[in-house]
Amino acid sequence: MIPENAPYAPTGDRSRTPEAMRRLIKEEEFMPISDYPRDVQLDWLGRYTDYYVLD
Amino acid sequence: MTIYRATEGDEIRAGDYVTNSYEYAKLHLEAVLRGEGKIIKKEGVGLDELHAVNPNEFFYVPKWIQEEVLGGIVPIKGDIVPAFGLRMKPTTHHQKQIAINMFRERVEAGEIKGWRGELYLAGSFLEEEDTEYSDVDIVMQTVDYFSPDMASDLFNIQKDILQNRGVFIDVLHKFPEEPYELLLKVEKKPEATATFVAGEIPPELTPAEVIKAKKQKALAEIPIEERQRIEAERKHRELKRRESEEREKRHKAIVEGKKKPAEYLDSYIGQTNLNKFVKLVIFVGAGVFTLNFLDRFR
Repeated sequence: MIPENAPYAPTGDRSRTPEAMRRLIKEEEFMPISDYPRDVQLDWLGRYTDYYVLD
Repeated sequence: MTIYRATEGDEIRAGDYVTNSYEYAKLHLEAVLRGEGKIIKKEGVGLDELHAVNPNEFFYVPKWIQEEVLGGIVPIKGDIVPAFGLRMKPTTHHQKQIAINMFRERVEAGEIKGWRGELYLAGSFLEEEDTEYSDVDIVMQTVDYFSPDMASDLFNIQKDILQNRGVFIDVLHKFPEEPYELLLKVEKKPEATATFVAGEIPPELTPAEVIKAKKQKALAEIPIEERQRIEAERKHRELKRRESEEREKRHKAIVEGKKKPAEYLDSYIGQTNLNKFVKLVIFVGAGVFTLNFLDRFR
C-alpha cells in the first residue's frame, strides 16, 4: 500500500497529488477530453494505436 | 466510460494516471510494476473528467476537484452572443474588433464571471474554404474546433477569462508574416467608442470593408430556402473533406505498419484494378498449377 501523503508515483507512473491536480486546473493547461471535437477525442482515446478498446 | 489503472493500491484517486484500455494497464502492470499489483477499474467516468496526456493516457480529474478549484464556474457553451449579452452577430473585421473590445470591458468590469466556449481569433490558419469568410485575408471568427497544438494557446485565453484578467490574444506569433502585418493595420484603427446598432454597417470602415459588409447584408436577404441550400452544400463539402482526411490518416497508419485485419481489406479495396487483376492472375495460376501437379499422383 502507498502511504497517504507519499508522492503518488512509483517508477513509471505520472500520477499527481491532489495539490498538483489543483495546480493543473488552476494554473496549467487543464482541458478535459470532452472539450475537444469528436475526431480529436477519438485520437486521444487511441483510435490509431494497438491498444484501442471499444467500450 | 471505464478507466483502468495498474496499481498496488485499491482505488483510483484524483490525479491518478489512468487509461481507457485494459490491455494498456496490463502492459503497465507487467513492465513497470513487475506484476506486483493488480488492475482496478472505475466505471461511469465522464470525458470531462479526463485530462489527456498521450493517446490512451490520462489524468483522472474528478468533478468535485474541478468545482473546488473553479469555484462553481459553469462553462457556457455556444455562440459568443449569449456571452456578450449583445444582440449582434459580428461578421466583418471591424465589428469583431468592437465585439472583442466590448467583451474585454465587460470582463474588466466583472460582469462576466466565467466564460468558456467559442472565442474570436485572427489568423489564416482559421480560414475555411468556401465559407463566407474565404475572401478575407484575416478572419476573426468563432473557434468551434481545437487541435491539440492550438489548445494550449486557446487555454491561455480561456484562463485569462476564467480569472477575470481580460482577454489577451496571444497567438499572433504563430501567424505567417503577411497576415500579421495586416492585423497590425487593423489594430491601429481607432477603437469604436459607442453606438453600434445591430444590423447596421458601423462607421470607420475602409471601402473594401464596406463592400464586404454589403455582401454580408445581401447574403442575409437571400430567401431562407436558398440559404439552407447553400448551407447544406457547405456541410456536404465539409463532410467530403473530413472523409478524405480520414482516408489519408488510415493510409498513413497502414504505411507506418500498424495494420489491422480490417485495414488490410481496406487497403485491398483501395488498390487499382490493374493491381487487383495481376494478383488475381497469380492466385488463379498458382491454383491451376497445384491441381495439375496433384493430378500426376492419381
